[in-house]
Amino acid sequence: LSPFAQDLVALLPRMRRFARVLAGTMDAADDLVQAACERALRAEESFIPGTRLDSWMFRIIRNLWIDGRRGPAAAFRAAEPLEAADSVSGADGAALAEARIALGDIERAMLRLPPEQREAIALVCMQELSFREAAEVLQVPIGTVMSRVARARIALGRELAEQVGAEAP
Amino acid sequence: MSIAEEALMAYADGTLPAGERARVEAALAADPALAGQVALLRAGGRAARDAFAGVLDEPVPPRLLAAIAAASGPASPATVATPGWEGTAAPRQGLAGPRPLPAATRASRPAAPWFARRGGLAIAASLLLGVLGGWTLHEMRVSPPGGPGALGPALQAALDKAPSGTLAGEARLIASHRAADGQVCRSFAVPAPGTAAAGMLQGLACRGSGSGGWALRAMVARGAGGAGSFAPASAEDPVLAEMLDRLGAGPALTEQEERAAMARAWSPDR
Repeated sequence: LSPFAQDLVALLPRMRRFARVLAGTMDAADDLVQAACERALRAEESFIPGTRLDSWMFRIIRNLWIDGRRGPAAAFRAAEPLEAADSVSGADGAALAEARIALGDIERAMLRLPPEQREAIALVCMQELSFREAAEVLQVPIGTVMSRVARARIALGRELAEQVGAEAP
Repeated sequence: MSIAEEALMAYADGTLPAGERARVEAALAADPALAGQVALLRAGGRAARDAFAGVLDEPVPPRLLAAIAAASGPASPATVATPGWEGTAAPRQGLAGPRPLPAATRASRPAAPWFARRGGLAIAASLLLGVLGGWTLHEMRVSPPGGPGALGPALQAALDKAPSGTLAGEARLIASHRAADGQVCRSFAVPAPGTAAAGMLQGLACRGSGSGGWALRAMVARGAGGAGSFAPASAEDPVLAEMLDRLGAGPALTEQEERAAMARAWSPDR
Protein backbone atom coordinates (compact mmCIF):
# COMPACT_ATOMS: atom_id res chain seq x y z
CA LEU A 1 0.00 0.00 0.00
CA SER A 2 1.13 3.53 -0.68
CA PRO A 3 1.90 5.71 2.36
CA PHE A 4 -1.26 7.68 1.61
CA ALA A 5 -3.35 4.50 1.55
CA GLN A 6 -1.75 3.39 4.81
CA ASP A 7 -2.71 6.71 6.38
CA LEU A 8 -6.28 6.06 5.25
CA VAL A 9 -6.21 2.59 6.81
CA ALA A 10 -5.01 4.11 10.07
CA LEU A 11 -7.88 6.60 9.95
CA LEU A 12 -10.56 3.97 9.28
CA PRO A 13 -11.75 3.60 12.89
CA ARG A 14 -12.25 7.35 13.28
CA MET A 15 -13.87 7.66 9.87
CA ARG A 16 -16.27 4.83 10.71
CA ARG A 17 -17.19 6.52 13.96
CA PHE A 18 -17.88 9.83 12.27
CA ALA A 19 -19.92 8.16 9.53
CA ARG A 20 -21.92 6.25 12.17
CA VAL A 21 -23.13 9.55 13.60
CA LEU A 22 -24.21 10.74 10.18
CA ALA A 23 -25.63 7.56 8.68
CA GLY A 24 -26.88 5.77 11.78
CA THR A 25 -26.43 2.16 10.73
CA MET A 26 -23.15 0.32 10.49
CA ASP A 27 -23.79 -0.73 6.90
CA ALA A 28 -24.68 2.72 5.65
CA ALA A 29 -21.73 4.20 7.54
CA ASP A 30 -19.29 1.73 6.03
CA ASP A 31 -20.71 2.39 2.56
CA LEU A 32 -19.95 6.06 3.14
CA VAL A 33 -16.44 5.38 4.38
CA GLN A 34 -15.72 3.06 1.48
CA ALA A 35 -16.94 5.58 -1.10
CA ALA A 36 -14.96 8.34 0.63
CA CYS A 37 -11.75 6.31 0.61
CA GLU A 38 -12.17 5.48 -3.05
CA ARG A 39 -12.77 9.12 -3.86
CA ALA A 40 -9.79 10.21 -1.76
CA LEU A 41 -7.48 7.78 -3.51
CA ARG A 42 -8.65 9.03 -6.89
CA ALA A 43 -8.07 12.62 -5.80
CA GLU A 44 -4.92 12.05 -3.78
CA GLU A 45 -3.01 14.80 -5.63
CA SER A 46 -5.49 17.41 -4.43
CA PHE A 47 -4.67 16.69 -0.81
CA ILE A 48 -2.17 19.23 0.47
CA PRO A 49 0.59 17.49 2.45
CA GLY A 50 1.01 18.94 5.89
CA THR A 51 -2.69 19.67 6.28
CA ARG A 52 -4.97 17.44 8.31
CA LEU A 53 -5.92 14.29 6.48
CA ASP A 54 -8.66 13.55 9.02
CA SER A 55 -10.39 16.87 8.30
CA TRP A 56 -10.08 16.23 4.59
CA MET A 57 -11.64 12.79 4.91
CA PHE A 58 -14.43 14.06 7.18
CA ARG A 59 -15.27 16.61 4.54
CA ILE A 60 -15.44 13.97 1.82
CA ILE A 61 -17.55 11.68 3.99
CA ARG A 62 -19.87 14.51 4.91
CA ASN A 63 -20.28 15.69 1.32
CA LEU A 64 -21.03 12.17 0.13
CA TRP A 65 -23.57 11.82 2.90
CA ILE A 66 -25.29 15.03 1.83
CA ASP A 67 -25.27 13.87 -1.79
CA GLY A 68 -26.82 10.59 -0.69
CA ARG A 69 -29.51 12.33 1.30
CA ARG A 70 -30.42 14.39 -1.73
CA GLY A 71 -30.37 11.44 -4.11
CA PRO A 72 -33.13 9.02 -5.03
CA ALA A 73 -32.05 6.52 -2.39
CA ALA A 74 -32.47 9.11 0.34
CA ALA A 75 -36.02 8.20 1.24
CA PHE A 76 -35.11 4.55 1.53
CA ARG A 77 -32.08 5.23 3.64
CA ALA A 78 -33.95 7.51 5.99
CA ALA A 79 -36.59 4.85 6.47
CA GLU A 80 -34.06 2.12 7.17
CA PRO A 81 -34.46 1.13 10.79
CA LEU A 82 -31.44 1.38 13.03
CA GLU A 83 -31.76 -2.29 13.80
CA ALA A 84 -31.16 -3.19 10.16
CA ALA A 85 -27.60 -4.18 10.97
CA ASP A 86 -28.95 -6.93 13.19
CA SER A 87 -30.69 -8.75 10.39
CA VAL A 88 -27.68 -9.71 8.31
CA SER A 89 -25.90 -11.99 10.70
CA GLY A 90 -26.31 -15.14 8.59
CA ALA A 91 -23.35 -17.46 8.81
CA ASP A 92 -21.19 -14.93 10.54
CA GLY A 93 -23.18 -14.12 13.60
CA ALA A 94 -20.11 -14.44 15.76
CA ALA A 95 -18.09 -11.97 13.73
CA LEU A 96 -20.99 -9.61 13.52
CA ALA A 97 -21.75 -9.80 17.20
CA GLU A 98 -18.18 -8.90 17.86
CA ALA A 99 -18.36 -5.99 15.47
CA ARG A 100 -21.66 -4.63 16.59
CA ILE A 101 -22.13 -2.23 19.43
CA ALA A 102 -25.46 -1.87 21.05
CA LEU A 103 -26.92 1.54 20.54
CA GLY A 104 -27.08 3.16 23.93
CA ASP A 105 -29.21 6.05 25.11
CA ILE A 106 -26.53 8.54 24.16
CA GLU A 107 -26.23 7.23 20.63
CA ARG A 108 -29.98 7.22 20.12
CA ALA A 109 -30.28 10.74 21.45
CA MET A 110 -27.48 11.86 19.19
CA LEU A 111 -29.10 10.38 16.09
CA ARG A 112 -32.27 12.32 16.90
CA LEU A 113 -30.46 15.66 16.57
CA PRO A 114 -31.03 17.63 13.36
CA PRO A 115 -28.37 16.69 10.78
CA GLU A 116 -26.56 20.03 10.84
CA GLN A 117 -26.24 19.88 14.63
CA ARG A 118 -25.17 16.24 14.51
CA GLU A 119 -22.30 16.81 12.09
CA ALA A 120 -21.12 19.85 14.04
CA ILE A 121 -21.10 18.16 17.45
CA ALA A 122 -19.49 15.04 15.96
CA LEU A 123 -16.60 17.03 14.53
CA VAL A 124 -16.01 19.27 17.54
CA CYS A 125 -16.84 17.17 20.59
CA MET A 126 -16.21 13.66 19.29
CA GLN A 127 -13.38 14.13 16.79
CA GLU A 128 -11.93 17.09 18.69
CA LEU A 129 -11.59 19.45 15.76
CA SER A 130 -11.39 23.14 16.58
CA PHE A 131 -14.34 25.32 15.65
CA ARG A 132 -12.26 26.72 12.82
CA GLU A 133 -11.37 23.28 11.49
CA ALA A 134 -14.97 22.16 11.74
CA ALA A 135 -16.10 25.30 9.93
CA GLU A 136 -13.74 24.42 7.07
CA VAL A 137 -15.06 20.87 6.90
CA LEU A 138 -18.66 22.05 6.90
CA GLN A 139 -18.07 25.12 4.72
CA VAL A 140 -19.98 27.43 7.04
CA PRO A 141 -18.89 30.45 9.12
CA ILE A 142 -17.21 29.66 12.42
CA GLY A 143 -19.99 31.37 14.39
CA THR A 144 -22.52 29.06 12.76
CA VAL A 145 -20.54 26.03 13.92
CA MET A 146 -20.38 27.41 17.46
CA SER A 147 -24.08 27.96 17.75
CA ARG A 148 -24.88 24.57 16.19
CA VAL A 149 -22.55 22.83 18.61
CA ALA A 150 -23.99 24.77 21.55
CA ARG A 151 -27.57 23.92 20.55
CA ALA A 152 -26.65 20.28 20.00
CA ARG A 153 -24.95 20.01 23.39
CA ILE A 154 -27.90 21.59 25.18
CA ALA A 155 -30.40 19.38 23.34
CA LEU A 156 -28.34 16.28 24.10
CA GLY A 157 -27.87 17.26 27.72
CA ARG A 158 -31.58 17.96 28.09
CA GLU A 159 -32.58 14.66 26.54
CA LEU A 160 -30.22 12.70 28.77
CA ALA A 161 -31.43 14.58 31.84
CA GLU A 162 -35.00 13.65 30.89
CA GLN A 163 -34.02 10.01 30.53
CA VAL A 164 -32.43 10.02 33.95
CA GLY A 165 -35.54 11.72 35.31
CA ALA A 166 -37.79 9.12 33.68
CA GLU A 167 -35.85 6.27 35.25
CA ALA A 168 -36.08 7.77 38.73
CA PRO A 169 -39.05 6.52 40.81
CA MET B 1 -27.25 34.91 26.47
CA SER B 2 -25.11 37.79 27.53
CA ILE B 3 -22.00 35.63 27.55
CA ALA B 4 -20.84 34.40 24.15
CA GLU B 5 -21.64 30.78 23.40
CA GLU B 6 -17.99 30.09 22.80
CA ALA B 7 -17.03 31.33 26.28
CA LEU B 8 -19.91 29.44 27.85
CA MET B 9 -18.87 26.18 26.20
CA ALA B 10 -15.25 26.73 27.12
CA TYR B 11 -16.32 27.40 30.70
CA ALA B 12 -18.40 24.20 30.74
CA ASP B 13 -15.37 22.30 29.43
CA GLY B 14 -13.01 23.90 31.92
CA THR B 15 -10.90 25.36 29.13
CA LEU B 16 -11.76 29.04 29.61
CA PRO B 17 -8.70 31.15 30.51
CA ALA B 18 -8.61 32.14 34.16
CA GLY B 19 -8.94 35.82 33.32
CA GLU B 20 -12.36 35.35 31.71
CA ARG B 21 -13.66 32.86 34.22
CA ALA B 22 -14.66 35.43 36.86
CA ARG B 23 -16.84 37.33 34.40
CA VAL B 24 -18.71 34.12 33.44
CA GLU B 25 -19.11 33.07 37.05
CA ALA B 26 -20.59 36.44 37.94
CA ALA B 27 -23.09 36.11 35.11
CA LEU B 28 -23.99 32.58 36.22
CA ALA B 29 -24.53 33.69 39.81
CA ALA B 30 -26.91 36.37 38.60
CA ASP B 31 -28.81 34.13 36.18
CA PRO B 32 -29.89 30.63 37.26
CA ALA B 33 -31.15 29.87 33.74
CA LEU B 34 -27.69 30.49 32.38
CA ALA B 35 -26.23 28.21 35.04
CA GLY B 36 -28.69 25.53 33.93
CA GLN B 37 -27.53 25.92 30.36
CA VAL B 38 -23.94 25.43 31.41
CA ALA B 39 -24.90 22.20 33.14
CA LEU B 40 -26.64 20.99 29.98
CA LEU B 41 -23.70 22.05 27.81
CA ARG B 42 -21.39 20.10 30.06
CA ALA B 43 -23.55 16.95 30.09
CA GLY B 44 -24.18 17.12 26.35
CA GLY B 45 -20.51 17.66 25.56
CA ARG B 46 -19.43 14.72 27.67
CA ALA B 47 -22.06 12.49 26.12
CA ALA B 48 -20.99 13.43 22.59
CA ARG B 49 -17.35 12.83 23.42
CA ASP B 50 -18.13 9.25 24.45
CA ALA B 51 -20.83 8.46 21.92
CA PHE B 52 -20.05 5.66 19.47
CA ALA B 53 -16.66 5.21 21.09
CA GLY B 54 -17.16 1.45 20.72
CA VAL B 55 -16.84 1.85 16.95
CA LEU B 56 -13.13 2.55 17.46
CA ASP B 57 -12.68 -0.94 18.91
CA GLU B 58 -14.62 -2.76 16.21
CA PRO B 59 -12.55 -4.76 13.75
CA VAL B 60 -12.41 -2.85 10.50
CA PRO B 61 -14.54 -4.66 7.91
CA PRO B 62 -12.35 -6.43 5.33
CA ARG B 63 -14.30 -4.81 2.54
CA LEU B 64 -12.98 -1.38 3.53
CA LEU B 65 -9.39 -2.60 3.57
CA ALA B 66 -10.01 -4.33 0.27
CA ALA B 67 -11.49 -1.16 -1.23
CA ILE B 68 -8.48 0.89 -0.19
CA ALA B 69 -6.13 -1.78 -1.45
CA ALA B 70 -7.95 -2.00 -4.77
CA ALA B 71 -8.04 1.75 -5.29
CA SER B 72 -4.45 2.29 -4.19
CA GLY B 73 -2.58 2.26 -7.48
CA PRO B 74 0.94 0.81 -7.15
CA ALA B 75 -0.04 -2.06 -4.91
CA SER B 76 -3.05 -3.25 -6.84
CA PRO B 77 -3.64 -6.97 -6.50
CA ALA B 78 -2.62 -7.67 -10.06
CA THR B 79 0.84 -6.29 -9.33
CA VAL B 80 1.30 -7.96 -6.02
CA ALA B 81 0.02 -11.33 -7.10
CA THR B 82 3.13 -12.15 -9.07
CA PRO B 83 4.27 -15.72 -9.62
CA GLY B 84 6.02 -16.97 -6.57
CA TRP B 85 2.94 -16.46 -4.51
CA GLU B 86 2.25 -20.12 -4.79
CA GLY B 87 4.71 -21.03 -7.46
CA THR B 88 2.06 -22.76 -9.50
CA ALA B 89 -1.25 -21.53 -10.78
CA ALA B 90 -1.96 -18.19 -12.38
CA PRO B 91 -1.98 -15.44 -9.77
CA ARG B 92 -5.72 -14.87 -9.80
CA GLN B 93 -6.49 -18.52 -9.44
CA GLY B 94 -3.88 -18.93 -6.79
CA LEU B 95 -5.39 -16.14 -4.82
CA ALA B 96 -8.93 -17.29 -5.13
CA GLY B 97 -8.10 -20.81 -4.04
CA PRO B 98 -7.16 -23.97 -5.89
CA ARG B 99 -10.67 -25.02 -6.75
CA PRO B 100 -14.12 -23.49 -6.93
CA LEU B 101 -16.30 -23.52 -3.90
CA PRO B 102 -18.33 -26.76 -4.06
CA ALA B 103 -21.96 -26.12 -4.90
CA ALA B 104 -23.09 -28.06 -1.87
CA THR B 105 -21.07 -25.85 0.45
CA ARG B 106 -22.42 -22.78 -1.19
CA ALA B 107 -25.99 -23.96 -0.91
CA SER B 108 -25.58 -24.84 2.73
CA ARG B 109 -24.71 -21.27 3.59
CA PRO B 110 -27.69 -19.51 5.11
CA ALA B 111 -26.56 -16.09 3.91
CA ALA B 112 -23.57 -14.36 2.45
CA PRO B 113 -21.20 -12.94 5.02
CA TRP B 114 -22.13 -9.39 5.88
CA PHE B 115 -19.06 -7.88 4.29
CA ALA B 116 -19.36 -9.96 1.16
CA ARG B 117 -22.67 -8.80 -0.12
CA ARG B 118 -21.14 -6.29 -2.44
CA GLY B 119 -18.59 -7.68 -4.82
CA GLY B 120 -18.33 -11.10 -3.30
CA LEU B 121 -16.17 -12.60 -0.64
CA ALA B 122 -13.76 -14.15 -3.11
CA ILE B 123 -12.77 -10.77 -4.43
CA ALA B 124 -12.46 -9.21 -1.01
CA ALA B 125 -10.40 -12.11 0.22
CA SER B 126 -8.10 -12.08 -2.78
CA LEU B 127 -7.44 -8.40 -2.40
CA LEU B 128 -6.69 -8.80 1.25
CA LEU B 129 -4.50 -11.73 0.50
CA GLY B 130 -2.56 -10.02 -2.22
CA VAL B 131 -2.25 -6.54 -0.99
CA LEU B 132 -2.56 -6.63 2.74
CA GLY B 133 -0.45 -9.77 2.79
CA GLY B 134 2.29 -8.13 0.80
CA TRP B 135 2.07 -4.99 2.82
CA THR B 136 2.25 -6.65 6.20
CA LEU B 137 5.05 -8.90 5.13
CA HIS B 138 6.95 -5.84 4.11
CA GLU B 139 6.10 -3.96 7.27
CA MET B 140 7.00 -6.84 9.55
CA ARG B 141 10.36 -7.18 7.85
CA VAL B 142 9.88 -10.90 7.45
CA SER B 143 11.66 -10.48 4.11
CA PRO B 144 9.93 -12.68 1.61
CA PRO B 145 12.70 -14.17 -0.55
CA GLY B 146 10.27 -16.35 -2.43
CA GLY B 147 7.84 -13.57 -3.31
CA PRO B 148 4.85 -12.08 -1.58
CA GLY B 149 3.43 -15.40 -0.36
CA ALA B 150 6.55 -16.59 1.38
CA LEU B 151 6.97 -15.98 5.06
CA GLY B 152 10.10 -14.93 6.90
CA PRO B 153 12.28 -17.28 8.95
CA ALA B 154 10.80 -16.35 12.35
CA LEU B 155 7.26 -17.17 11.28
CA GLN B 156 8.45 -20.24 9.37
CA ALA B 157 10.07 -21.53 12.55
CA ALA B 158 7.00 -20.78 14.62
CA LEU B 159 4.77 -22.62 12.15
CA ASP B 160 7.21 -25.54 12.05
CA LYS B 161 7.70 -26.02 15.77
CA ALA B 162 5.00 -24.38 17.88
CA PRO B 163 1.89 -26.41 18.77
CA SER B 164 -1.48 -24.72 18.39
CA GLY B 165 -2.55 -22.75 21.40
CA THR B 166 1.01 -21.65 22.16
CA LEU B 167 2.93 -18.46 21.61
CA ALA B 168 6.14 -18.45 19.60
CA GLY B 169 7.79 -15.07 19.72
CA GLU B 170 5.08 -12.66 18.69
CA ALA B 171 3.09 -15.26 16.80
CA ARG B 172 0.23 -17.12 18.41
CA LEU B 173 -0.59 -20.42 16.75
CA ILE B 174 -4.32 -20.99 16.60
CA ALA B 175 -5.12 -24.29 14.86
CA SER B 176 -3.99 -26.77 12.21
CA HIS B 177 -6.10 -28.28 9.45
CA ARG B 178 -5.54 -30.87 6.74
CA ALA B 179 -6.55 -29.53 3.32
CA ALA B 180 -8.14 -31.72 0.66
CA ASP B 181 -4.82 -32.08 -1.18
CA GLY B 182 -3.14 -33.34 1.99
CA GLN B 183 -1.29 -30.14 2.87
CA VAL B 184 -1.38 -28.92 6.42
CA CYS B 185 -2.61 -25.36 6.87
CA ARG B 186 -2.16 -23.47 10.12
CA SER B 187 -3.89 -20.35 11.34
CA PHE B 188 -1.95 -17.89 13.43
CA ALA B 189 -2.06 -14.33 14.73
CA VAL B 190 0.63 -11.68 14.90
CA PRO B 191 0.52 -8.06 16.07
CA ALA B 192 -0.27 -5.62 13.29
CA PRO B 193 2.59 -3.30 12.37
CA GLY B 194 2.63 -0.05 14.26
CA THR B 195 1.26 0.58 17.70
CA ALA B 196 -0.56 -1.85 19.93
CA ALA B 197 -3.75 -0.03 18.98
CA ALA B 198 -3.30 -1.27 15.43
CA GLY B 199 -4.69 -4.62 16.53
CA MET B 200 -3.77 -8.02 15.21
CA LEU B 201 -3.40 -9.79 11.92
CA GLN B 202 -4.72 -13.31 11.53
CA GLY B 203 -3.16 -15.44 8.86
CA LEU B 204 -3.47 -18.86 7.29
CA ALA B 205 -0.35 -20.54 5.95
CA CYS B 206 -0.06 -23.90 4.18
CA ARG B 207 2.97 -26.17 4.00
CA GLY B 208 3.63 -27.29 0.47
CA SER B 209 5.78 -30.27 -0.38
CA GLY B 210 9.47 -29.68 -0.98
CA SER B 211 11.65 -26.92 0.39
CA GLY B 212 9.15 -24.13 -0.14
CA GLY B 213 8.18 -23.98 3.50
CA TRP B 214 5.01 -22.29 4.61
CA ALA B 215 3.15 -20.04 2.17
CA LEU B 216 0.66 -17.46 3.27
CA ARG B 217 -2.83 -18.10 1.95
CA ALA B 218 -4.84 -15.45 3.74
CA MET B 219 -4.21 -12.52 6.03
CA VAL B 220 -6.88 -10.51 7.77
CA ALA B 221 -6.54 -7.40 9.89
CA ARG B 222 -8.43 -7.50 13.15
CA GLY B 223 -9.00 -4.41 15.22
CA ALA B 224 -7.56 -3.82 18.63
CA GLY B 225 -9.61 -4.94 21.57
CA GLY B 226 -9.32 -8.67 21.08
CA ALA B 227 -5.54 -8.49 21.25
CA GLY B 228 -4.03 -11.19 23.38
CA SER B 229 -7.29 -13.02 23.85
CA PHE B 230 -7.85 -15.19 20.82
CA ALA B 231 -10.46 -17.80 20.58
CA PRO B 232 -8.74 -21.11 19.97
CA ALA B 233 -10.80 -22.00 16.92
CA SER B 234 -9.46 -20.75 13.61
CA ALA B 235 -12.93 -20.79 12.11
CA GLU B 236 -13.74 -17.68 14.12
CA ASP B 237 -12.51 -15.45 11.36
CA PRO B 238 -14.89 -15.59 8.39
CA VAL B 239 -12.20 -14.90 5.78
CA LEU B 240 -9.92 -17.62 7.12
CA ALA B 241 -12.89 -19.95 7.45
CA GLU B 242 -13.82 -19.30 3.85
CA MET B 243 -10.28 -19.98 2.72
CA LEU B 244 -10.20 -23.24 4.69
CA ASP B 245 -13.50 -24.11 3.07
CA ARG B 246 -12.07 -23.51 -0.37
CA LEU B 247 -9.05 -25.63 0.43
CA GLY B 248 -11.42 -28.42 1.39
CA ALA B 249 -9.91 -28.46 4.83
CA GLY B 250 -11.33 -30.67 7.56
CA PRO B 251 -11.88 -29.71 11.17
CA ALA B 252 -8.97 -28.60 13.32
CA LEU B 253 -6.51 -31.40 14.00
CA THR B 254 -6.53 -32.78 17.51
CA GLU B 255 -3.47 -32.35 19.66
CA GLN B 256 -2.33 -35.90 18.85
CA GLU B 257 -2.95 -35.53 15.12
CA GLU B 258 -1.06 -32.26 15.09
CA ARG B 259 1.86 -33.78 16.98
CA ALA B 260 1.99 -36.65 14.50
CA ALA B 261 1.92 -34.28 11.53
CA MET B 262 4.66 -32.17 13.10
CA ALA B 263 6.78 -35.29 13.65
CA ARG B 264 6.53 -36.02 9.92
CA ALA B 265 7.67 -32.45 9.15
CA TRP B 266 4.13 -31.58 8.04
CA SER B 267 4.49 -33.67 4.91
CA PRO B 268 1.34 -33.75 2.81
CA ASP B 269 -0.87 -36.68 3.57
CA ARG B 270 -4.21 -37.89 2.39
